[in-house]
Amino acid sequence: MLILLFYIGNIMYTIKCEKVREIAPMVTLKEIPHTPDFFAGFFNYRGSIVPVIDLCQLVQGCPCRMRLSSRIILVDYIGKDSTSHILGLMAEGVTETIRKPEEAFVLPGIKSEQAPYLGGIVMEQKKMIQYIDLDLLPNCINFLNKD
Amino acid sequence: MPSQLTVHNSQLETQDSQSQVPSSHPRGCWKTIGVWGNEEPRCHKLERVIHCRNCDVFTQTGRKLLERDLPEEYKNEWTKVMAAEKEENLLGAISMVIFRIEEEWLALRTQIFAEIIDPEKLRSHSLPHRSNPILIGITNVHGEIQLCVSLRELLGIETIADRKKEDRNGNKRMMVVNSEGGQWVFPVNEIYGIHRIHPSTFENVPVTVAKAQSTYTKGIFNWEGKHVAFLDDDLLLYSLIRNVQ
Repeated sequence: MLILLFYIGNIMYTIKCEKVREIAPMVTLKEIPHTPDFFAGFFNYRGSIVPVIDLCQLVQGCPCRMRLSSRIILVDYIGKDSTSHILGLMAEGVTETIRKPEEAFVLPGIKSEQAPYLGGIVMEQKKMIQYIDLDLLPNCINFLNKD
Repeated sequence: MPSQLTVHNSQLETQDSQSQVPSSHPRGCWKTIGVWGNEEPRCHKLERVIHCRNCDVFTQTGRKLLERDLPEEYKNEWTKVMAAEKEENLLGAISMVIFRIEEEWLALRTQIFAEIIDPEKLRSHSLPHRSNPILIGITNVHGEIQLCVSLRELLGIETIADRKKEDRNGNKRMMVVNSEGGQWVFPVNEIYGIHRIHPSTFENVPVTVAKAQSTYTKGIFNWEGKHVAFLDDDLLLYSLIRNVQ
């Protein structure tokens, strides 16, 4: 299984590539006032409006640094109305993908109340990389569930 | 015991970091002890990775180039690109090489091409006692003798004498195509490049085209305001064999 590596601050995280639609470079986003800090703004993605989440802000509480390697990961998710939506995830150091077998994904049995989308671990050589569960992430972001 | 163990570990780490000395090299180890340099002693990693581009040190340094600040123009440019509709490639489009012989723009399937060579590096030798205008002669392609033919003669394209020769000669190329019996070489005046064209954009060959060319043409398409004839390569290669025998 192909997984995408990226950084939030100095810590490496990963997501499974199967839900990833496209990796877009950093673009100018339409910021909306009175939204949570982790909501980076709206992205005009090929004519449709896509909300973008700043993963650095969401996980670590500091905004994503504007580097050439900072990119927007566009993923598909099924909303509460059972239709498919696109979500943008902004992260740093989005430069690499690796292949991992299904067995490499481990759930250590600890669930965080605040961030249930975090917790699964992928073993890469001697390092442990947390992966972000794309099935759980959109439901954790409250304002996405309005529709 | 635990303290000894830690000491042992740290020794291991120093050994590790020593083996990665090239990464801290100010000029970039690939330019000195790697494949783009000739300093001695050679990098010991080369035995394992063969080429620097397979080495972690080189890859990681390349990735670090992306850790630069984002220029505002870059961001603006991509905002425009991402907002525009994506250009979808139509399914079933044919990849073809577009080239020019005299005044005629022609195209052949990309798959049949072996390579394209600068005519300066490829001289053809004429064959004595053969007065076939289609067969130019023989030519040496990477040590193998191949037949050099004139598509211009085969297709019956007229030579335009008054064309400004001096500015066009630099664009001349030799095209090498594969066929079952071997390779064929033919000169062309200019090559545009590889293009993907969908068959639905083909127009019928006008009946007024009375030349031999129309037989070989599968369809005509419009490309940058020019009419390009897409040639039937099977028929073309078949008649080349027939014509040089």
